[in-house]
Amino acid sequence: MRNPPRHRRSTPVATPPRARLHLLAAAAVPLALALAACGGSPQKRAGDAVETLRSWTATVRLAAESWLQGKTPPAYTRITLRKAEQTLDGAVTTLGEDPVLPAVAAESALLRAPGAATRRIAAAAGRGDRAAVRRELAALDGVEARLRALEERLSAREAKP
Amino acid sequence: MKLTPKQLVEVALGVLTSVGGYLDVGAVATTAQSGAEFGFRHLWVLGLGTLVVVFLVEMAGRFAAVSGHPLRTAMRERLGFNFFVATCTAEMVVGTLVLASEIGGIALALQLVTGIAYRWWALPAGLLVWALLWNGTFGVLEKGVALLGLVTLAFVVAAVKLHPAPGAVARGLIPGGGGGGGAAHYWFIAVAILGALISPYLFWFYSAGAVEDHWDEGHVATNRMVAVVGMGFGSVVAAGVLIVSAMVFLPRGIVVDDYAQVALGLTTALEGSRGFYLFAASLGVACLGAALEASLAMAYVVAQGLGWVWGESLRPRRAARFSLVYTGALLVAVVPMLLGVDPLALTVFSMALTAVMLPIAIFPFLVLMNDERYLGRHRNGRLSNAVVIGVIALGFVLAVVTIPLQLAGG
Repeated sequence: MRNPPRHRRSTPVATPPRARLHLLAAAAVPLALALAACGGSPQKRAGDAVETLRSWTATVRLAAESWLQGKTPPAYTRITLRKAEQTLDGAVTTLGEDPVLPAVAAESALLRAPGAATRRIAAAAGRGDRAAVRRELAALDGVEARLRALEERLSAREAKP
Repeated sequence: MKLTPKQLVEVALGVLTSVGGYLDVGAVATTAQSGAEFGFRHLWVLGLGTLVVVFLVEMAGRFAAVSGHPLRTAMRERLGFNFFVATCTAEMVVGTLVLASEIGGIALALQLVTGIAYRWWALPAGLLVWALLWNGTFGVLEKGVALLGLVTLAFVVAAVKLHPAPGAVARGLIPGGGGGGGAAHYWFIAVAILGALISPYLFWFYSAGAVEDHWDEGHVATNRMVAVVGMGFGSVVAAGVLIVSAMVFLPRGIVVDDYAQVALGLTTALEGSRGFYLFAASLGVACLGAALEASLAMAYVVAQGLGWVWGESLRPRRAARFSLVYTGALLVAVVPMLLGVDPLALTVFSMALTAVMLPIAIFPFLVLMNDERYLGRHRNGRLSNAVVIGVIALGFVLAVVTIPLQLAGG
């Protein structure tokens, strides 16, 4: 078969027996999706929320440092810090939901620190106050390490039978 | 295999457009997430995905060049209407999700630069894609946008500048697990990377494009070179994204779940503000190119399957129903972004769904590429058939095992 008409109805080559494997193949999708079920233990949910806090605290630091070095425009910094605020607040809300784990309840000040610092950094960046941003970043030193330690404690408890 | 000067120019242009068009929103999202959480440990997935893409793209081009038929027309002829309806429906659903993700990528690139929320850019981005499709010709769209996509090479430059340890990179090319509690997530990201790389719309687009470009048997060698060299080098760009992400985010403990974070990778790796703007340009151009391809691929699938007049180089009035399909797809695809659906979550979900669909999409290759009536002496050899069977088997395993694992893990 050579040079069939282009850009118009193609002429069938032949009429072979039609394959009906599509039914079998199409079953893969609903099978996969039907097994969907979200859940997880309170420790797992708390661990995920603390990971989010730690990750976005590091993001705030990197975004603020990039702004200080003149690598990113103010508009990007503003949007990223706003997103960080929302995500950090969301993670704190998740951690406050029942049941509140003792390890989490004992660290409530630590958990709220990144969100508060982000609001202050965003305000300082908004008015172009580089010194204030540097001070806030210095104050965040150690927060990430403490969050990582908490995350590891929660992971260890989840791993216990 | 000796190429004439004209063929060499075709190969060079083909390779450049393949490299420039390699990245899309899915590849950026999945490789960035992978690097941030698992370092270089998914590099082997990139290698595997690229190998598969090289084989399948070569087959799609060879089929069109030798038979003069695009794949979807032949699929309808060979496998019948019922198969066409089943696969077409599934591909339209997945294709629309992928298109929505690409439009989200364009909108996010504009958000990065302007500070105006991506939701406001969704409609203009969709209109831009539509206007280019409506007024452009295949050659202009394929080569123009893909050549602009060479800006994505910034990721390769950044990756080199970050000096990754060669041994660690080499170890990433050896398959391995995620380890510990992250195993399910490790495999889910692997699936998403494969879904981003082995996108069926790429094959429908490539195959129809070969017919639009009037390829014939003389293009078989050119096609092979473009597939191997172009896709091979293209994968280096995706590896660049992964390496930058691994070098910047992993040591800082940043888990990527927003494109704003991804921008910080290139920003940190390059001096001054150029990294930030190169990231925005890379994301915007890569997603624009992919949105054009995904829109056209959906129109090709429907029009070729139903025997309508089709062709991006035809005026819309001459291929009215073909143009109507991509117009409708774009209209639907802007809706999730207008509603504020999280672009990154949508992207990763679409890519995973694409991977689940792979067995259905790839199965026809096995039938068509061995049909002497279409391909004569250019039929598949054992190696090519083994690759297709391997992809189908891999797709089944990924669909049945990995996606439920991730969902069950919340």
